[in-house]
Amino acid sequence: MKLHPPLVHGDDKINRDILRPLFETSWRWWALFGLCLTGFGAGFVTWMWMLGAGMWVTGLHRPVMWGVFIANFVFWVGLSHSGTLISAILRLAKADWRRPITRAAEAMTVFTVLMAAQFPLIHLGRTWFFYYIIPYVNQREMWGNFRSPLAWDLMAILTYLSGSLIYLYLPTVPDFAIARDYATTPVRKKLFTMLALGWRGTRKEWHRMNLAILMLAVLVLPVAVSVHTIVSWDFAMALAPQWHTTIFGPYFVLGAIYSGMALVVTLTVLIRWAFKWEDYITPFHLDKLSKIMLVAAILWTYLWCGDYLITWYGRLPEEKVIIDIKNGGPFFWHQLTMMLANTIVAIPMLAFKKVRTSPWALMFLTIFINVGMWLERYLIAVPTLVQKGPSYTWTTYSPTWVELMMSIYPFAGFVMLYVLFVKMAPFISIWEIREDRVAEAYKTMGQAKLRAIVAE
Amino acid sequence: MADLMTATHEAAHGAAHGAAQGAAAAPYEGAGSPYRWGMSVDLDRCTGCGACVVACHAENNLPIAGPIDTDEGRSVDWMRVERYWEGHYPEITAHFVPVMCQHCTNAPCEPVCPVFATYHTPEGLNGMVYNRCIGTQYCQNNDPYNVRFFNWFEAALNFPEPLANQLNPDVTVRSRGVMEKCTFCVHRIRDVAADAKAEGRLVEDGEIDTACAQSCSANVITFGNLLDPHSKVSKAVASARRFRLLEGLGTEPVVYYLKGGQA
Amino acid sequence: MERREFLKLSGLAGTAMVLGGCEDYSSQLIAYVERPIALEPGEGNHFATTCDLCSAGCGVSVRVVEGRSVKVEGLEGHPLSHGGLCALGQAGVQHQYHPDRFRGPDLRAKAGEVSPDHLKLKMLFDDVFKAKKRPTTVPENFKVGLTSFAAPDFALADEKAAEARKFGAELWAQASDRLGKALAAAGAGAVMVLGPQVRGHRYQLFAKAAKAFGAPAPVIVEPFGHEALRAANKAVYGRPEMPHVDLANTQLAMCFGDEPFTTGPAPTLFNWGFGEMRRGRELVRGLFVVVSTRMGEAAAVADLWIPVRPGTHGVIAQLALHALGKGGVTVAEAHEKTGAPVERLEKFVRWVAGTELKVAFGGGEVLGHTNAVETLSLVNGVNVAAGMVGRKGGILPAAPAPIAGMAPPEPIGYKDLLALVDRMKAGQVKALVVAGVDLFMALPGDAGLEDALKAVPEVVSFATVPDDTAALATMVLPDSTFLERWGDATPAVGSGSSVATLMQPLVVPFFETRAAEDVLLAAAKAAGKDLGFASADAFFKAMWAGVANDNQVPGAQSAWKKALRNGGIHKPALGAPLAARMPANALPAPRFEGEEKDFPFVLQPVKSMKYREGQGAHLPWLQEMADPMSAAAWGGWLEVNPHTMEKLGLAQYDEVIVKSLHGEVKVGVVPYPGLPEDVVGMPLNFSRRNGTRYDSVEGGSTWEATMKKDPGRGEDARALLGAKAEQAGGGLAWGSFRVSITPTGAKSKRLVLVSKSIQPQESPAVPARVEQEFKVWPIS
Ligand SMILES: Nc1nc2c(c(=O)[nH]1)N[C@H]1C(S)=C(S)[C@@H](COP(=O)(O)OP(=O)(O)OC[C@H]3O[C@@H](n4cnc5c(=O)[nH]c(N)nc54)[C@H](O)[C@@H]3O)O[C@H]1N2
Ligand SMILES: Nc1nc2c(c(=O)[nH]1)N[C@H]1C(S)=C(S)[C@@H](COP(=O)(O)OP(=O)(O)OC[C@H]3O[C@@H](n4cnc5c(=O)[nH]c(N)nc54)[C@H](O)[C@@H]3O)O[C@H]1N2
Ligand code: SF4
Ligand code: SF4
Ligand code: SF4
Ligand code: SF4
Ligand code: SF4
Ligand SMILES: [Mo]
Repeated sequence: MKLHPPLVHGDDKINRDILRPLFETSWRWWALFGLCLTGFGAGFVTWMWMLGAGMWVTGLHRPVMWGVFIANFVFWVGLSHSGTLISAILRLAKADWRRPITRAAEAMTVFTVLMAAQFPLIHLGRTWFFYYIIPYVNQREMWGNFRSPLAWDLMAILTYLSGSLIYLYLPTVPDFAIARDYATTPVRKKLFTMLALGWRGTRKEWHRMNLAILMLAVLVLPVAVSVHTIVSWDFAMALAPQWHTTIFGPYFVLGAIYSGMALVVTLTVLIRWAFKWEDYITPFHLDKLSKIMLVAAILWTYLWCGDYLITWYGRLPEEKVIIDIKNGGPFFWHQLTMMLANTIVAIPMLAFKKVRTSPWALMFLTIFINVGMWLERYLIAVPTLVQKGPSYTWTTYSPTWVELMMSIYPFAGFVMLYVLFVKMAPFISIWEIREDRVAEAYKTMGQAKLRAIVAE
Repeated sequence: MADLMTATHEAAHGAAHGAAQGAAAAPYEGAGSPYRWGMSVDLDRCTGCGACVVACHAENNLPIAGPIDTDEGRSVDWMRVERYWEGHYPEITAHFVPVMCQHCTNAPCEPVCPVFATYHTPEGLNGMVYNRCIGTQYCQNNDPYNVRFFNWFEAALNFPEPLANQLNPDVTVRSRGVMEKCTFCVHRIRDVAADAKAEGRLVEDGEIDTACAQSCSANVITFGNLLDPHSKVSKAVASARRFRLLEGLGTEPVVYYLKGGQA
Repeated sequence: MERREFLKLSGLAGTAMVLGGCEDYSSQLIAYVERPIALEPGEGNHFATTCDLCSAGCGVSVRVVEGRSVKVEGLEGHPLSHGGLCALGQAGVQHQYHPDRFRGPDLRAKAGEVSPDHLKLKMLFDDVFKAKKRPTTVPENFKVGLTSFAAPDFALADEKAAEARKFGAELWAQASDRLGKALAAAGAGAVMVLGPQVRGHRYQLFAKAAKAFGAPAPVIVEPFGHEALRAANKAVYGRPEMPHVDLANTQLAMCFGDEPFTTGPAPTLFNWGFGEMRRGRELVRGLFVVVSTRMGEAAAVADLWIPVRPGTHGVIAQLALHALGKGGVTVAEAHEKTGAPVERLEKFVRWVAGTELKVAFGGGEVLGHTNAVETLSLVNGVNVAAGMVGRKGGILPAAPAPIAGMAPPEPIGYKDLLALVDRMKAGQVKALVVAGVDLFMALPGDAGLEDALKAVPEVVSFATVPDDTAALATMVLPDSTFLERWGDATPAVGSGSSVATLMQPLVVPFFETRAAEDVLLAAAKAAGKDLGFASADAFFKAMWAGVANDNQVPGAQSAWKKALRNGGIHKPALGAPLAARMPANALPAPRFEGEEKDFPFVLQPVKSMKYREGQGAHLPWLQEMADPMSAAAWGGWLEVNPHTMEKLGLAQYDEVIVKSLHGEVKVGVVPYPGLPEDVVGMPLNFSRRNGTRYDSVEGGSTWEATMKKDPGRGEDARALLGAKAEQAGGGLAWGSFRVSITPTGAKSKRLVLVSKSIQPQESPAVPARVEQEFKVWPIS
């Protein structure tokens, strides 16, 4: 016998708490939104200007053809990971503590991928012809080259984007319905009515949706894993020293989960504070997230060392010169900061429950971790290129203000979409929380004693 | 006086050796075509004079990057003469290596191109379709020889009137945002091959010469058909002195270098 | 001409005469006189002519497409180019289409002040370009009747161009008047100074003009030239001219300081000879020994390099003499005097004694030392001692030109040039005519040439592009380029053939320029003096009458057509035997100006193949190409030994002030392992105070594509040299100056490096790379 939460009546407090941001907008919101819009706009104008002027406005030159743009691409694809991943994993694992954070995470995925997806276009010499890469029927019988990792990227990312978009939208439908019923102004009413797809909450609907979510969770998992594996192949499939390595697949995925988790935590803490949702997102949740982060940190460090030690010990001339410039040369500080952020500081800190449960400590730590993860992407892309091939052509690389602007651009854009989202949809899954609350049964996961709904 | 032994390896046992190795390049399923263009570069003749570099600029409408972008690494030299120092004064030596696209049989630059803008022709050239290129610059990252050049700016602008009159009408002036590289002077190949075809014959050895080979008075560079065992280039690459750049990578270039020095 | 035949020719346009050793090469070229006018657009034709960018006189074949000369290529089978070409020769077309080329005559009211008329003419031509066209009309004086292919869409250009041409013709009329008057007025006070490329019958016409106006015979000036070598040749071989160094057939070539393949008297020829010597013969691979202070291109490809202290090259020549049992010095002494490693000297002695055919030649950095003449005499002496003078594989006498009166007189020495400058200062020169040379490129900074020129009432420059001399001229009468006019020459160096190269007008003069011959003829006419020729065209045809006359020979090819097809006439020949006098064994120690404590470094001015004596400086291709050794481009650089840099705390790109007793320059530092620690190198003649947009000291023109400001090429090494004539025979010892280096603390904005990595200092992994991947050095 299944229990279903009543629709509108019932726990009205949760509804109002969570729907508040949809109906009330503070000056703070406008300030933040304005700030982001400015950053995003500035970046966009820079991009358009670069399209007009040419790629020489960047710090790129032969043989360093990939720089900050590609680092940003990898970084943002990476960030996208944990969102869908934890949500899906935890859904399947029926870990109910996930409930308050899943939507924040899923939304994060969608927006980060949206940002990431722009960089392959930004770094094109002829962005206006990007569509040549799309395999579509044309009378010239011209096709993309399916052997090229870039073609794989395209498909992987589009799949991932569409997948996680649906995966975000579907569970939100019932909440849109609630929002619809609470909406006062006609505009909002219309909007949410549209988004709710006429959800009425019949038994059938609930049944179908739970099924759909379950299936999506199963489908989206392998996609999430494959995406960053494929991104890693942009490098791993190449013949360049330090790129041409089989470890990159798992290494990238773990890096992605690591940085993604870090971002989830950062955001969760901020949202929790911003909307005073302390009693929905508790230290208990942060602790869980941090534990996953800790595991990722340790595994990432393990793989990094695995890769590093072997090339260092092997001392092939080609590899050695590149390791040298990371250990002593122009990239020394990048590498040191990265190691501090991702391993030397992060792992011990996360080992303490005190840190894992204190929001602010976590926030600074996770931001630091993502600084480290960005540097990691940068260190993958650039050093190889400055000293590959005949030493007569070796060079150095320093980004220009254009690359700086194009790095601010995705951050601003991401936060902007996020704050917009807060105004668009219930940010915590109301029905899932309620589902949780109404469920009386308890069950244990590991040592932890968790709330859980009666399993279907 | 061993160091006065001036007989060259060729004369001694070079040819035999080469024959043993089979001069022509690695098996290549471009097939069908009677041509397999290749090149030999005799480093023992090269004086680093740089004539080939300018010749390539003149023949192929290479852009003029200007002082600042040249320093920033955006100049374009399909052919460059690399100089390698070794040691310290007075125990110092320097070596010249003229390097252009090696037209690798297993060209790493090709599979990574998402739009087939760079591909392999049946005649064994690494072809480049400018108007197909979208400028991902991936191919240069994957080119172990760093001989692919990106058009960073509207290069035509750096041919102030009337300098543009020097441009070779047989060769495109590449537009901004596309990759370019040594083509083995493919326009010359086409020109001659077309005539030969019209006359119902094959291109004869020596009929085609690349601009760099032509300009080199030291006769360092030999261009020709590797499938023709009697061509000058086939004979040259039969030499015991032959080697190929970064041979270990297995890119199977069709540009063969002949080692310098008393060998 | 038959269309089929034509197609055959144009088909060959693509192949560009590469048929190695084909029987009748000339049949592939179209004689200019039977030039097919109605060419198919896009199809090219090749015409033979002579490269005029240096005095070597290589035969070239120029590809002409739709009236544009698009590519200069080597002329197969020519005794100097052997089908090849040097980097400078390749850039001939940039000479032709240089954006700053003078559009027409500039008759100035005051020295250095561009006339309004000249500006107007420039505007008129710019309008033609604005219409995205090129001038396709023909200058009114252009007799030879070339017409390029005026497709309908050129109509617009033709109108505008015709207007420009018309105005230009008016200016030329004034120009010849004014020139005629000036020369007549100056009479004996007129001096004509010509560059080394003013040779053959072109020189003869200048001489005629001078005579007609009662002026002294024109003098030839050779910037940083070979006068010490000529003196040495005179002393040992009995004749000043440069003989044929038979590299191709020798077993051991000894090169003393010269850079024969890049900046020598005939790079293309020596390059060919080197290739043949090394790998041109079945069983013999010639050995190449280089004796020099700075490791340059030649030393880099040597089988044995003997590094010596500046100015001690002669000692090694003495060592060779010793090895040949003709006195000289022992290995121990040689090591003592030159600092060269003993084992290399011993190897050298073994090689000299052990080889049958050997040849020694010198030049390059040796020419700059105070003991140049003595050193080079000793070098020549080695050939005498080895009995290689007049022997195959040795030194062979240069054959005279097959046509009389083509050899120009010997260039005047540096001392005479200084004397001329003084006479100018003293106001004894009433009119100065300068053609084919930028005098500033021939003189050190403190020679006071600027004041001298200002003291001359009428300075006439025939420059085609702006240079420092033209900048101070009162009249600029731009010459047509070698692709637009008649001309001929006999090469400055022996090549084993008797050569008279021919230059023919292949394209219509692009602007309103005139061949200097036409200008002189017109000027004489205007002054009521008759030189006996109507035009340059008539003049050259008359000069070649001996060949041209037999036009009516039955059968297809007349000698004249053949000459045009082959870029002149040449047949294997040698000149009258050379003398072989053993020089005195005396070798004065080199002198260096400046106290070692104030000026710790010897300055080694470097002639880069990028710039030569200045001919390359204004050509963007040559500015942009990497110097083979330093890998620097666009202007100047300072070569410093990496250890010295460590001592001075200098890094690549650091800007330093190089100071000598005579001046100072700011320049960026390049690590150069090929120099001793107490010697620094800097290129010569790469910039001009008032040059073109590509070679100006200050630059400033903005690059259209990127809108980046051009920092300019910076001050030239000439600013560091003293004017005193220090050599025996009065040559300029340009390598005899000490300098000091002071870092400015800034990074150089002007230094441009194509390759920034200096192995092996940078990374220990590199020798491994070079070894494994670029197996390129001698195994011995
Ligand atoms: N008025 C007039 N009309 C004409 C003609 C004429 O002379 N006058 N000529 C006719 C003739 S002969 C022809 S052939 C046609 C030519 O007309 P089209 O067939 O349109 O050929 P294009 O316009 O040259 O190219 C079409 C587009 O293809 C894009 N393109 C390049 N590569 C790819 C690719 O891989 N995928 C895709 N999807 N697009 C690609 C190009 O950028 C361009 O934008 O025009 C016909 N129409
Ligand atoms: N820049 C650029 N170049 C291109 C192309 C491009 O898109 N851009 N497209 C390429 C393609 S796909 C093609 S098909 C070619 C087309 O190349 P062309 O055929 O050369 O181009 P058109 O100008 O269309 O036609 C050539 C001439 O035919 C003339 N003409 C018109 N009608 C007749 C007639 O009835 N009889 C005769 N005798 N002449 C006639 C026209 O006036 C014109 O001058 O161009 C190719 N080249
Ligand atoms: S032209 Fe010939 S000799 Fe000169 S650098 Fe090129 S290959 Fe070497
Ligand atoms: S050399 Fe480089 S560009 Fe040429 S084929 Fe090989 S990989 Fe491609
Ligand atoms: S730059 Fe052009 S050629 Fe190179 S991979 Fe990208 S699209 Fe292909
Ligand atoms: S073959 Fe042609 S394109 Fe290639 S380097 Fe030589 S001249 Fe340039
Ligand atoms: S050597 Fe002199 S003449 Fe010969 S091509 Fe070079 S510049 Fe011209
Ligand atoms: Mo077409």
